[in-house]
Order: sequence, then C-alpha cells, then structure tokens
Amino acid sequence: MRFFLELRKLIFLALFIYLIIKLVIFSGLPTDYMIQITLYSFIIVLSSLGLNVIYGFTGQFSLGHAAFYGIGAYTSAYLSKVLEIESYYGLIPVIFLAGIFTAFIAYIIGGPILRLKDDFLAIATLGFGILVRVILDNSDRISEVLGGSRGFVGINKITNLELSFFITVFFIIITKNLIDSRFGLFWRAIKNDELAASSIGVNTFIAKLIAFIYGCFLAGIAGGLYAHLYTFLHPSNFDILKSIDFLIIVIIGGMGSISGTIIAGLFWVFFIEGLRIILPSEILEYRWVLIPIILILIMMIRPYGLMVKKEGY
Amino acid sequence: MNLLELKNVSKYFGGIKAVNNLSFIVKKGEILSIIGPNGAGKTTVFNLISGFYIPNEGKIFFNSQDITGFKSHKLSRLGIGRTFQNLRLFKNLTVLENVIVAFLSKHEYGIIDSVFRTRKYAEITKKAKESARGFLDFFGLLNKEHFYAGNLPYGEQRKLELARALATEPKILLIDEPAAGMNLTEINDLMETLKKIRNTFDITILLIEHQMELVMNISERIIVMDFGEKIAEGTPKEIKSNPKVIEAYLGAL
Amino acid sequence: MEILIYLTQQFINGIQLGAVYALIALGYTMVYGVLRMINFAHGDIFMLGAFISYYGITKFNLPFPILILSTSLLTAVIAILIEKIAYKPLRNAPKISLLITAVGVSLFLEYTLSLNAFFTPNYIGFPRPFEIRSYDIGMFSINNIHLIIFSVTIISLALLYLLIYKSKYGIAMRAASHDLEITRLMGIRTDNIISFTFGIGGALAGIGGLLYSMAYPQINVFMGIMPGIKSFIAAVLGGIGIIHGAVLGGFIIGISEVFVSAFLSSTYRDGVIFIILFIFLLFRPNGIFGKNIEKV
Repeated sequence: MRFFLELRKLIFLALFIYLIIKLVIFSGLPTDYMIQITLYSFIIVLSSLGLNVIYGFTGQFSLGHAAFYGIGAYTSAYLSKVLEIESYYGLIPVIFLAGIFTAFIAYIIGGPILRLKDDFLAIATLGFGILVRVILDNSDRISEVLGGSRGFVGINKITNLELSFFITVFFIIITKNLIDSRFGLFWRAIKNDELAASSIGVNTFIAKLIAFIYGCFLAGIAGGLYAHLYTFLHPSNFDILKSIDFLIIVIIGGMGSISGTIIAGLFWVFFIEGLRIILPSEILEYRWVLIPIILILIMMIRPYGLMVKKEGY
Repeated sequence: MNLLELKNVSKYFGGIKAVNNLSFIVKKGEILSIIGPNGAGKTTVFNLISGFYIPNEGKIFFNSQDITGFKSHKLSRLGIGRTFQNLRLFKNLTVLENVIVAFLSKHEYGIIDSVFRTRKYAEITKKAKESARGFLDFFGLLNKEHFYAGNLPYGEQRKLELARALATEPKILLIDEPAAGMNLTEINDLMETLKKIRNTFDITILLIEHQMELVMNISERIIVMDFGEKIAEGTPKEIKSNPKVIEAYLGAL
Repeated sequence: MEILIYLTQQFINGIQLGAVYALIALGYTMVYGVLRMINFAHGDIFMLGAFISYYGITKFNLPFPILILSTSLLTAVIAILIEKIAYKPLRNAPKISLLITAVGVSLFLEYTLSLNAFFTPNYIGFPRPFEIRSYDIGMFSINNIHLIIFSVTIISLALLYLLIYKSKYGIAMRAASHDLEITRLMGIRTDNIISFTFGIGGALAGIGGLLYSMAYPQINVFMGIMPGIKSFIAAVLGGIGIIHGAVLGGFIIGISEVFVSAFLSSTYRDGVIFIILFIFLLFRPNGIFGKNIEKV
C-alpha cells in the first residue's frame, strides 16, 4: 500500500502519458513503423537502465550488455515457441522467466569477473559478449529452432504498447526504489571508493554482484520484449556495437541518473530511426562517422556524461 | 582486558619486510599511539588489522577471537573502524549520505523491503537519518548535511571521516594521521575532539600520528616502530627518555 | 605418421598467425605500460597497415622492403596523431573515459573508411607481392609467405630489442612504464616518450597488417577488430606491460587458434580464445610473467 501511496505521482504521470500515446495511435496519424519505433524505444530505455545500474551507479564498466539482452531475447523466443504462446498474458511469465534465466547467467559469470577492475573488467565483459555471439552463431547445433547464424525466425508478434510501456514503467519504479535504498547507497559508495566502502562494513563484492545481476535481469526482460516485437532474431543484433549503443545512452544521459537514461534512450532511438526516415541512404551511412565523434567530444568536455548531476535527495 | 592483540605478525612485499615479527596488545578503553619515521610500517599495521592485507606470518586476535585473514567488511561488523591517511570519503555522496551508508551496512533490510518500501524499510531509513544526524551534530557538521562530501573544507572532511567510522559503532577506532595538514589551532581542536570521542562513545583508540605534542598529550601508551619492528613501548614519559627512540626518531626533530 | 605431419603443418600455420598477433600485442603492452590504458583503436592501425600496403602494391608497385618501411612509417605517424588528438586531452580523466574515447576512435576509423567514398564495407582481394612457392621439407611443406613472415617478424623484434634496451628513448620508455610521474619529475619530456611508444606500436601493427594480408589475402575495414582484441588478450596472457610476455602470448594465442580451427571447428575458435582469457584473468590475472602485487 505504502508502495502505491508514495509513488502515486509517478503512477499518475505514467497513466497520463500512456493515454496520450494511445490517443495519438487511435487518431491513425502514426504509421505502423512509427508505432513500432515507439515501442522499441521503451525497450531500449529498459535495457539501458540496466546498464546504468551496473556502470552509472556502481561504476562496473561492461562492454557486454547486449549479450544479456540477447540471452533474454533468445530464451523468451525459444520458450514462447516451444510453449506455443500467442497471447500477451501468456507472454508475461515467459518474459519474466527469460529475465530470471539471464540473471542466472549474470550470477554465474559475475562471480568471477566482478573481481576485476576498470579496463580488465571491460575486456572480460567484451570477451563474454563475443563468447555469446559464438554460441548464438552455433545455436542450431543445440536446437534447430534457434536458427544459428541464419537467425531465429517466426516468433509470434505479441509485444504491444501496454506490455512494453507498463513493464518499462514498472521497472523504472523498482529501479528508483532500489537506488533510494541501502543497496543504491552501497552502489554509489562503491563507485566512489570501493575500499572505503568495505572499511565501513559494506560487502562490496555482494553489492556489485547484486547490481550486475539486476542490471542484466533488466536487459533480459527488454530482450524478451524485443523478440516478440520484431519476430526475428539474429546473432549480429546482439554484438559489441549494440553494447556500445547502450553505453552511449548511459553516457549521454549521465552516469547515475535515471531520468537522464530515460530521456537519452528515447532521444537515441528517435534520433537514429528519425535519421533513417529523413536522410537519403547515401548520407545515412555517415551516422556512424558522426556518432563516435560525438562520443569523443563528450569524453573530452564532460568526462562524466552530459546530463550528470544528482538524482533523488 | 585485551581488546586487540597482534602475535608475531609479519608482512612482506616482494623482498621487503614492511612489518617484521610485531607483537602488541591494545587494552580496552585506552588510547594507544603508534609513532615512527616515515616508512616504518605504521599504516601497514592498520591495513593488517582492518583486513586490507593478510599477514604472511603471525596471528591477530580481537576480543580473544582469531581474526587473521578476515575480510575488511566482516572486521568492520565485528567492531573495527578506521580512517585513512589520505581521506577516503565518498566525494559524490552528500555529507549525510556518507554517514548513512555506514549505519545501513549494519542495519539490514532486504531487496524485497527496498522494492516495495515496506514498514521495515521506512523504520530503518528513519533511524538511519536520525542516527547519522546525531553523529554530524557531534562534529558540528549538521548544517552542511546536504553538501557533497568532496566540497567540504579539508578539516571538515577529516571530521566527516571520523563521523562515518563512528557510525559503524566500532569497539576500536584506528585513526591514521588525523593531524596531517593541520595548523596548531586545528590540532588543539582535534585533541579535544579525540578525547570527547573516547569519553562519549566509550571506545578504544589506536592512533598513528607524527604530531608529537598531540601524541604525548593524548596517549596513555605509545609504541615506537622503525623498519617494520617495534623498538620501544611505554608511557609517553618513558618514551621521551628512551635513548633508542631518541636516536631513531625524536632525535631527528 | 599422417597425424604428425598434419600437426607440424598446423604448428607452422599457428606460428605464422602468432607472429602477427605478437607484433600487434607489443603495441598494446607498451602503451599499457606507459599510460595504463587499453588502446582500443590499436587493431585499426593494423587494418590501416593492410590498406596502406594494398595501395603501395596496386598504385605504386613498391618493392617489398620499401613497402614495409613506408607502411610502418605511415602507421607510426597515424598512431602518434591519434594519441595527440584524441588521448592527450584526457591525460587526467578517469580511466574509463579514456577507454571509451579509444572505442570512439576505433569506430570512427572503421566507419569513415567503410564509406563508399573510401574503401566501402566490402572485402577487397589483396594482391600478393610475390608468387607463392612451396618447398617440401621432408614430409611437410613450407612456403615463401611463411618464410617472409617469420623473417620479417624476427628482424622487427630484433630492431625493437635494440630500440628499447639500447636507445635513449627506449630506456626512458621503460622508466616511464615503472612510474610516469617520477620520470616526468626527473626532467624527461613524457609527451615525447608517449609519442615514441605509440609510434613504435603503430609501426609494428602496420607491419602486422601487411604480413597478415599476405597470409590471408582478403582485406576489409573491420578486419582489425578481432585480431586486435585477440592480441590484447595475448598481451594480458604474457603479463600486460611486459615486452617478451606479449610475444609469447601472441604465439600462444595464434597456435591455439589454429589448432582449435583444425581439430574442433573454426566457428569455435573465438570462443576458445576467450575461455583462455577467463581462465587467466581468474587464476593468474597478472599473466605468465607478471608478479602478483597487492595494493591498497
């Protein structure tokens, strides 16, 4: 009860935004493509939020976030295919299970690699990303359904506005609550000074592991939504470039800022997809020339991220 | 009663013996200082007691329990608190948050409590704020609770670090060079603060310090280290007149 | 007997690939030694080496020794410029900002060169500067590409050894990798040492790019990513910051990769390399030659 009372403002705001989107869609103005992009942008926000918990709040750099996003996508698509899920209420437990499975993988590999720091952690997570890519490329040897390097085809299109919007909002609220709790405080303390945190009794390893598992859980949930929105999965959708996408969103939004990640995630998807609509394809390929320059400039001018400053308190 | 005991503790780095066969006892309730020239191994002793290093040889006992090899967060929970020579505050957390973290590491609630903001969450959060404000009040930092810790002047950062260490409710507090970078007025102020801490919180203090006036004035006993070994131990009076100490350390002044 | 010949043949191929990884790994390890940064764009210098020599061969028809010299010179200059433009402004920034910048540089190079105005994202056939000739030695065969790769690598390593252990700059570089700050306080121009380090690393990676393209004659703007990452892993394996460690690591990675491809499947080779990395990071994070040092 307290949960709803304290957060009633946020919940009303979310309902209000939902109604507006619903009305706009109902008016028939946006094309199917635009609706799909809108749903996709919520999914990207959700997954980026996961990386922000890991990197932005706790300071544990990961270059393998897309791998967890991919694990969630493949797991949920496999489950829904095997269980012949066609309805959104059937999909909710499937996506939840996929999230749990992703979290479990994060727990297995987080144990050893979270003992590493900074750039060594970066290389280890990057390595994990490539390992997952190799496994996905060979996944048809595990089960024919997964499709290997040909891709996973014929997933039911179930993700709708309600699912992607409300699941994302729900986890934004959960994340905010976690950040405000003692765990969030431990995370931020660890990012500031891990040694000092352990000197005042914080079990820094467990705290980092919780952040990592939770962040990857969000990526897994987002992957599940993605799979049932686009109905086709390919290993190349979850490689290092995708991880860098998430990283850029966290950096632009400001490390350790929930609202920043939301805004940056939405902006990023509409920016990238918007360019695709506006620009002719010859110019479109300049995107990835421009993006790294922006990234480098941000690092030079604001090494801690664009919209960075405090959250809550 | 012995609160802390080091028995024949040694710590090597490569070929260098940073601490060599060191034994001493800290009695409950006393203020014991460790002095010695730079590089004598004093901070290494702190790092050994607080679990950042594991001794190569020897054992450490706390409240008669063998704590050799314990992790630092566990030692903190057992009641060993410390500060650092080069201040290690959480600079991007507020002053209040710095102290709350310390309180919350001992007062637990689970993830479910956090996610759903249960009654337990609310109660402990309230208690944490009250307790943290109490410590800030003690050090005169209450009016700055919303400042970022990194924005405090140096002297107040020192105080905040003490407040944070005390919020873990330690039985023994290891304080590493609190007077470093302070002028005489600030040192006198610090002396009063340290005495007040001991009396208010009924705590044992182990102090590393270079500032002789402070050490001689405040300590009940003093241990002198040089090249990783204990070369003398005694009351301030005894230490002042010990020829070995004068040669190794005080003579240099 | 059959299997023995096959093994020896694969071993030769492994050493060939390992030589290239060793050349790239040296750049990673030297830069890490001095700046404590992972120069993520180093693999792209390798790629540039391949493209520069492609033009050296097709447009200018350069003789092989000149081709090596000009390629290594150009990649050295590019590596130095990248450091001056992108990394130097971040000398005091958090470590991860530097890594992200390096990732940015890497993406920038790859995607700029993949534009249709430049090289396009497609594979280009790399013209070998000579005809392949195979020599049968007993039961197995070796070709002139193998021999050239081995000899160029050995000559490069010998020159590197002289440069690092005998030249003034090399000695200063090794001092800097102990402690950059103290080296600076001793009155040595650290900016010059850093440029020197990037230059040497860039030249070696450029040579690596040329040799690699001779052995695997298909080049592409993204070709530097995986060899780059694997060479970094090689540097970690040998103990990052340790010169001979990088060379040994390069050979270990190269040989393991060839053997995994030969006996398991080429699709698993990247996975196996990363499993080796994980094992090392867990049990011997300082590498084969690294010392374990505790720090607070």
